[in-house]
Amino acid sequence: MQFSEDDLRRALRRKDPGPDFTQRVLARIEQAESTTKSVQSKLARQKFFSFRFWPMRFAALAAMVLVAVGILQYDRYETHAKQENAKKQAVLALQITSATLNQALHRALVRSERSQ
Amino acid sequence: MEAQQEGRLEAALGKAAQGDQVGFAEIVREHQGMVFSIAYHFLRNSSLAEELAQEVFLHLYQNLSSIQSPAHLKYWLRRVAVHRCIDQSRRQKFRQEVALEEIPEPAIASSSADLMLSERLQKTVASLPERQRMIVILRYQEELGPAEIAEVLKMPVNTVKSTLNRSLAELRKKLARSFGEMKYAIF
Repeated sequence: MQFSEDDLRRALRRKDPGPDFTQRVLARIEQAESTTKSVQSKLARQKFFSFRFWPMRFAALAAMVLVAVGILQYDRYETHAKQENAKKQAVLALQITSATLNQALHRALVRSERSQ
Repeated sequence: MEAQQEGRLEAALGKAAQGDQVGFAEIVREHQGMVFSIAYHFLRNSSLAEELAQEVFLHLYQNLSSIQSPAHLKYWLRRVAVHRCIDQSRRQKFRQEVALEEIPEPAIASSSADLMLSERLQKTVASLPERQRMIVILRYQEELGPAEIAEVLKMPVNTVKSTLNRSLAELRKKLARSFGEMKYAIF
């Protein structure tokens, strides 16, 4: 059985996939896009809850707790330092007042002795 | 006329690259025959060919930014279709059964002998090994020269030429054998 190259061309001529092929392709693209989005969000969820990231999460949490405790401690230390400073200043003020009063008393006593 | 079509396709390509569905639909309409036919003649299965052609266009949609021109688009589609067909064929061994509705309608009125020959040729081409089958399809469906086929299949040109000659010889031999068997079946 013989055949020519034209016979082959006729046998292998292009075939149309049908009138709605373009619509089917567009629908498939839409479907693929929505699937990709849901897969991505699922992956993100899985990633968030995966055990692989637990040590990192613990480290971050520990760091946050340490920073918070540090801030509280520093605040407490600063308040205490202010209180101590105020106490010292009050004591100094009382000492100065006491010394001034002593001097005044002493002068008054000297004057009264002289007048007698 | 061809320049006009080229311009239209270039505009569609530009629109599609910006996410316009109408532009992409125009590209699909323009090339669906080529992509589907490569798959259909290679796989000899309408639904698998449709599935594969859809996948090729889906892949194109995801890679539109890498397409530079209508000529590049055609080359890209042909290359992706060819490689997907070969991958598909390696994944699965197909039965060479053909449903009645899968026999293509003739474009012009032909004699029953022509139809029979066309059908026999399609079946015989489908029975060739992968590379030979694809070379014959690219040569006679797509009218590509040996150099273009070599570029698509990443093969040396001389290998393409010798494979094509070997394929034609094999087709003749197989066809003669199948017609011989038919004669025995009829008489």
